[in-house]
Amino acid sequence: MTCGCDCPAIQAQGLALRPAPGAPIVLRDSSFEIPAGCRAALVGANGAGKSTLLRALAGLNPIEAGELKVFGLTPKVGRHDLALLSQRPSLTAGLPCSVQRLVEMGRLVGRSPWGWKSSKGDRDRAVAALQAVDLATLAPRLLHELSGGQLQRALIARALAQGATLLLLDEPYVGLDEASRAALNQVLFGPALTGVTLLVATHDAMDIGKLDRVLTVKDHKVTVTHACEGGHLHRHA
Amino acid sequence: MPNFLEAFSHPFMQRALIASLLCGVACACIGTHLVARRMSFVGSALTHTLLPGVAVAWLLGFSPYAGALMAALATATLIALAGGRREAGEDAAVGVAQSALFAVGILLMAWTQSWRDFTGLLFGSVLGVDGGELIWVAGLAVGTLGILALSHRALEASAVDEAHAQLAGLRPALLRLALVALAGLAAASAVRLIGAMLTSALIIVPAAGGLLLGRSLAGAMAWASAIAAAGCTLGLAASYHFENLPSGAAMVLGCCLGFALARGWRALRG
Repeated sequence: MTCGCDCPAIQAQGLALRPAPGAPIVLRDSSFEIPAGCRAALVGANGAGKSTLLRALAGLNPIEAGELKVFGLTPKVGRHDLALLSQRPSLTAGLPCSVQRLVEMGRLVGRSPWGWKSSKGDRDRAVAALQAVDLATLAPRLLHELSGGQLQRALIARALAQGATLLLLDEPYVGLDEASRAALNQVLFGPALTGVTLLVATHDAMDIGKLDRVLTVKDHKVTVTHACEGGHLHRHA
Repeated sequence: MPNFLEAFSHPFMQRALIASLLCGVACACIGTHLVARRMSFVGSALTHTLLPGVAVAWLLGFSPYAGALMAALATATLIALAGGRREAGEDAAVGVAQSALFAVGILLMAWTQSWRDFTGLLFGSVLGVDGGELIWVAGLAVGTLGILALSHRALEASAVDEAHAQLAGLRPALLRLALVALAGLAAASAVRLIGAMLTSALIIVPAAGGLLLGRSLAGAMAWASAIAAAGCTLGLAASYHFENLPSGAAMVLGCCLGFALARGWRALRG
């Protein structure tokens, strides 16, 4: 659901956030904008408020003050267009869930979640999404049988099946080796996600390939510290 | 070697078998969700929390199933009230509910000054199930399975990724509570069959075995149901053929055998 105009993907005005009711404020008086189709990194130290901002964008964290818009709508209304790829999804090792089943869960967003099994249309959409991230052969695998990089790609496939146009990734590179990082970047910056807005929270923006913007969270503020024209990020940035 | 199926030629054994199969499958399916979410402690807690409901029913002369049902709902409500705040986790809330309701049960039993009257409630009497009780068991089991079938995708999605489930408009905390209430519903169907003390076994043991064999949550539920059905049938037949073998305990041991076989099979596969 979008507002139908050329609104930015994300727009914040005087935003203040706290991670939980009663907890100290992590962001205050922050204003920034991310245009639709932009690939942006969100960098900052541990506990700076990166995850809190991502959760607020997904409508899962209340807004303390200011305004936050997703495609021109409040996060709770606009969240059907976005997917949040959590740092550590609550995937329990004891729960047998296949990659295919995980991706089908993307189809729950904006639709009735009640019932026993997914429709054929949802299953077909999941297969197509898995092919797009080059994971079709791993569809029957259980989630705890995947590597960290494969799991991130499976979560991206779930977002594709959902039809999300804004992807929020929380520390997707944690625990990944060089090859897995490269494979993940290939998907993030490949044809499967053309036109999709990316906001990737990370400790080190150098992990990410091509970027349009870098948002830095420091001293309780979000500032756009780097904006190059689709080029690679340089260490000095 | 006695004829195994001869046991089920008697009407009382047929009623016991039907009741056990219905209740066993319902408990196994709901148990699969609980064990997969690492919430086995809820099954154990229900063992204690159903007691006051059954005791009240016994004292006031209404159906123990209705009493167990009320106690199950009281359990879910108490867990919601005690665990509603961040400072008190769900495990602590379950502990509070378990202690409070079990203490009420003990009080009620003490007031009647007759502990012997309650042995049937504590350890069950599946062979004494009559037609009316069979209807109660069937209603509770089918009700549990029906609600579970309707909410299966939602429960599964919220267990796999809470944040994504919230994005989809689900409320994971409420679903966890609904799961506790559903487990109470299933446990209520078992309380007269194998007793309050062994009810948790029917919820946890077949589910733990099913999760060793299933490659999906639905597959694990199917395996758990098969283990429960086989274990209950074997236990009932064994208690018929061997004197002094309590039927409730025999059914639970049958399920444990199923779990042991599942464990062995997994160990063999590596």
